[in-house]
Amino acid sequence: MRASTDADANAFLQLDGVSKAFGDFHALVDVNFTIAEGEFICFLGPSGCGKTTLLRCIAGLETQSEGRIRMGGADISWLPTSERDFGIVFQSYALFPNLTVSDNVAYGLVNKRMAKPAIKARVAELLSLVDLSEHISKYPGQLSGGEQQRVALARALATSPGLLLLDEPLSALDAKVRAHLRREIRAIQDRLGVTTIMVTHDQEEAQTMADRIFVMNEGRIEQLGTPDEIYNAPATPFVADFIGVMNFFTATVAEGGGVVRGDLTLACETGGHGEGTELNCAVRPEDIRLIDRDGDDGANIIEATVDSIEFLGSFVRLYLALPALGAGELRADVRKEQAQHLDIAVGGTVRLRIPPATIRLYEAGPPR
Amino acid sequence: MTARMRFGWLDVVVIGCVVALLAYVAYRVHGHLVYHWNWAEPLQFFFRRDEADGGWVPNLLIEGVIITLRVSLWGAVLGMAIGLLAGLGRISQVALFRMISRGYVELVRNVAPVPFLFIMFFFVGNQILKPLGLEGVQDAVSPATGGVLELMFGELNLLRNFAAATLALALYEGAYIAEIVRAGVLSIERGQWEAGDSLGLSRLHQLRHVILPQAVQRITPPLANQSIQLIKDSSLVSLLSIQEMTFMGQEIAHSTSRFFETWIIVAAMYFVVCFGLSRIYARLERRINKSRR
Repeated sequence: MRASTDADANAFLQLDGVSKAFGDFHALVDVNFTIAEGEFICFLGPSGCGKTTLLRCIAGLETQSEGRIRMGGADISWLPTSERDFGIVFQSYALFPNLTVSDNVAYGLVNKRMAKPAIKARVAELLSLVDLSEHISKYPGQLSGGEQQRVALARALATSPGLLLLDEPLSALDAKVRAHLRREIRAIQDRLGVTTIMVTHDQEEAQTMADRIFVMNEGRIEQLGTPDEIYNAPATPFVADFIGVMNFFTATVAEGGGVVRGDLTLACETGGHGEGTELNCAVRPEDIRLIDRDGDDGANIIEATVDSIEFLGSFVRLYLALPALGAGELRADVRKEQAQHLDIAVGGTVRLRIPPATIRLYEAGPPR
Repeated sequence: MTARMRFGWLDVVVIGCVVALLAYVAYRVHGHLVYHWNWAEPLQFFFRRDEADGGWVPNLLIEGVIITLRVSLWGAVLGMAIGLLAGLGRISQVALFRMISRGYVELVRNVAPVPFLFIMFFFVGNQILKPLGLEGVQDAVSPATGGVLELMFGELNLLRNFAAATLALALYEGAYIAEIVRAGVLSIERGQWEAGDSLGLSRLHQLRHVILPQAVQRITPPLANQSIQLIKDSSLVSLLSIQEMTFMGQEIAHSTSRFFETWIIVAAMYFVVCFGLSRIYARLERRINKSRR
């Protein structure tokens, strides 16, 4: 059942069979992973998937029901929070409202037996790192959300922790500040080289910031991999559905390869699935190519009716109706210029091609 | 819902009823209650002429107010200290502290104040303060020091009595203050504790620098309210022969037989002190709120 309970020599942080139950509710189910030193990891998943609980177990703010947590080779499973080596930024910031910005940042340093001038220098260094030097003597209540978040980051980094934990640090900010802080946090992490785990439900945030993403669902890690792997080779229907946009339809494996549904036959790599097996087929809207009416005759060319059109800035999303799939079931993303060139209109027909390599197949059963 | 007050026909009816009732009471008092008011007699207990030099000196009522304020002040100081310890004890991680604090608070809340004060008065006076030897204080200190002590605690030959009564009152009020302190600390978001834990600081350190400063800000209004309550409760120590306002009122009422007048005067004095204090608190609170903005 357990993968291994031996310490991995290269791992900075290692979880073995970590589970957490609140009564009958299983928040975490047998979580195993290792993180190397200096990595930037994102726990990504919908709300209630257990990602924050997992982060809090690592911090010791929550106690796992089962399993072990190792950090830097030492077993920290039962260590109290105050003795673990990490800094944390909470979703609510949890700054101390009665202390100034500099006292907030200095707070973790006071019991490190540092001399006063050394603490002062360290605070100044951290505040310049997060670009807040001019707010040093203000109170948190006098700062904007983005500024408060940066104070929280400086406070978390003050003691030079081995591990930085970020619990949805950007979710309370508006889009522009969020995008700016994303780059800033990643730049600081690169400069300091501190191992970082960030919890987020925002896939764009995870994809732009993380070295590796751990996609979570219902207390389990569904897939762990680089942003590229997660997007281009989703391991499960859940990941395929959760990351980016995905067309799903069921079909059965046809005689001599490919899949068939009604009068629609698509060529694709069926792997080891036997003929007649029902499968979930997944295609990303941007992988569907629109071709000229008299265009080439490759594989998987289909005619469809345009149900509706959605303008999404640099591209348009077509909702297509096919006899085999039903109305509006298939979405295709087309660049704006091509849409104009092909003169696409609601009610018109389009020819499209689904490259066989872009069709992914999963065992049947609807995506969770 | 509108914030502006509307004056409707129902208000007219209610106010009309109240006016009618007051008129009836005045009529009864004037015409049927055969009582000859005599305010002069009790009023002379505010000030009297000194027999030696003929100047005005405070009489029993003023002395009573001073002692009431003295008992209340020390009762509040001690009560806050006891309440803070007991309040923090109730949320301690040490089960023994929790048990002791809980036992204390429940005892006070479920026992009538008079028996509680008597028991504490005799227990504290005889078992704790007697061995301290407070009796000889007036002889042991210089006249100057004695003067300062007298200003703070009243007549020094009654010091043990005063201390025991004040401590008994403080123990009574402390239980209520403990509940206020507990509620204040519990009202601080859990994230504040978690942030402190994450920074590696001890619980005591967090309490002192982060939790209590925030909690104190929140519990200042209920604490101010409790201190006014304490002034009113201080009338209970008249039973312990502390010569404060109520005690003096009793003396005057008995010696002059002007019960109505005397007690109305004493009640008015309590009202002036308590209402005055509540106005001062309200003003302070407004100022604090303004400066925080």
